[in-house]
Amino acid sequence: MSIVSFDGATKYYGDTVAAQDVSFEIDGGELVTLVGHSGSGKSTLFKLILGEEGVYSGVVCRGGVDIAGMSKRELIEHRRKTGVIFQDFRLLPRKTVYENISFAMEALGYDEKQIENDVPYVLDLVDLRHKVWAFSQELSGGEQQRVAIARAIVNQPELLLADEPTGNLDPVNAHEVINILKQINKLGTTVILATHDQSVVKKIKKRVITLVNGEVALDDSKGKYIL
Amino acid sequence: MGGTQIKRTFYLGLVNVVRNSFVSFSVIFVMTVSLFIVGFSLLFGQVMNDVTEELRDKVDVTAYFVTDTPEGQIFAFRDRLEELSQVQEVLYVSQEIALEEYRKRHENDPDILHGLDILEDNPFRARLSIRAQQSGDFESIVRFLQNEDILSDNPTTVIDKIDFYQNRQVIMRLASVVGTASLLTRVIIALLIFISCIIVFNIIRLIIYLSREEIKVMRLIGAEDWYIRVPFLVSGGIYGFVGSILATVFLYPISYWLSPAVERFFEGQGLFSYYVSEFFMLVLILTVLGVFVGIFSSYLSTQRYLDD
Repeated sequence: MSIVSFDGATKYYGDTVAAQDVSFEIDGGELVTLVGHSGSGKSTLFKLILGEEGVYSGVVCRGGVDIAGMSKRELIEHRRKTGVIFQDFRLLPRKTVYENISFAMEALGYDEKQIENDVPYVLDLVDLRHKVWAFSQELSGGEQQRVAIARAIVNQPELLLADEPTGNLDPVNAHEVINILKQINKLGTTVILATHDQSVVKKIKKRVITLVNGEVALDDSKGKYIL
Repeated sequence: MGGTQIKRTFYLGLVNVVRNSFVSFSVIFVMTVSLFIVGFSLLFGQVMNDVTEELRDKVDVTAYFVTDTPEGQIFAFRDRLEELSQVQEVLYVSQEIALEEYRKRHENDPDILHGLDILEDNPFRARLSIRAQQSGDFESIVRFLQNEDILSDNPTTVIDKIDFYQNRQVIMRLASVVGTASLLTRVIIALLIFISCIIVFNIIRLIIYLSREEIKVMRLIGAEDWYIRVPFLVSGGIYGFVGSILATVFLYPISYWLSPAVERFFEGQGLFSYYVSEFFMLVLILTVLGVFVGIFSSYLSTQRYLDD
């Protein structure tokens, strides 16, 4: 069964079409790149997956369950199994690196011992162990994005949504972030990455879904895209 | 919600207050000023209450008895008066006590005292001072007094004079002023409390508005509503608590400083004596109000970001 599926999903913001009759399925363990210019509907698809927004018509499912029909509890559970990385990092400014990651575990009720084990582990994965007590404002853009990745993966989500994760980074940091995402995918997590950066798409060389004006223009498993 | 989770949310609330020090300072400042106004209003209201009580006590109807009325007859009359539901208290002053009071009042005036000595008889009449339950009860008490033949065993006139009529206008006006002043004080206090609550509510709403992104992120990672909300409630409670303590502390010098002026103006107790005698009640009221407003404002302000 697919982990995420869109079936004729359409979304409007006023008169503007954000997603038009979008249909595709993503299986568990895949690494899929959503590619398209700004305003092509990439972020909207993520919002539909997270249940932040509802569809105008069509269905978006997670593990076969219609997200729009989920109860509040089901939606919380769905979000707990989904890690999110934002282009603007969205770290909590008054918390340290450790706290930014641990609070994601605390919110889910993990005990202290597990938190003390797992946070250093994910910090090692993103190579930020040495910044553990720094506040997020004290970090560079690349470091902040790596903290955001650590926060997104610390609860070992089945699905990881990365919305323009390299958008605010220089090429070196962008390359590092892509490598981390590939590594996470290799560990079994399904990764959906949204980007408008052709160099990122070329580096990944996996399935690419091209979006143009909210519609799926191409869905190619060999990494072809239209930009 | 487990113990660890409760501990975490309280810790997060405390950390928010400490790390967000400038914002916390601003909220606590507003909270302190608001609670100070409330506390001052309560103290001043107490002064006003006592003044109105004192004025009310001064308003009475006095019935003067014919000079040779036997004391037993006056007592019987007093007993009947005390049975009236409109009567709060009846005070008997005999001829002798009236004379003594007069002498004492004029002890520094030898001419008057000499004049009294010349008189062979006691010129004062026995009297009953009657206090009504409410200012509107005076009329019916006076009607009762006029109806002297209710004393079945002595149908003759015993009441020489009722001074309510002489003072009626003043008494009624005073009663009305006293009532209005008391009501006005209560209304002003209620209004100040309301305004303070609105100010505090809005500043807390603003702070939570500034944290809306944080709330959004917490929701997206799957935090439950209570886990997101409780730290804000804790912070709100801390703002209220600290604000109430500071307001109580600042009331000390202000009430001490204003006390002599208030004492002089109202001829009663000053603000400071109320501050001291009602200290624990004041702390309790301000703390409960501050903590409640802080928590309630935070609850309402977070609600809009937690609604789907």
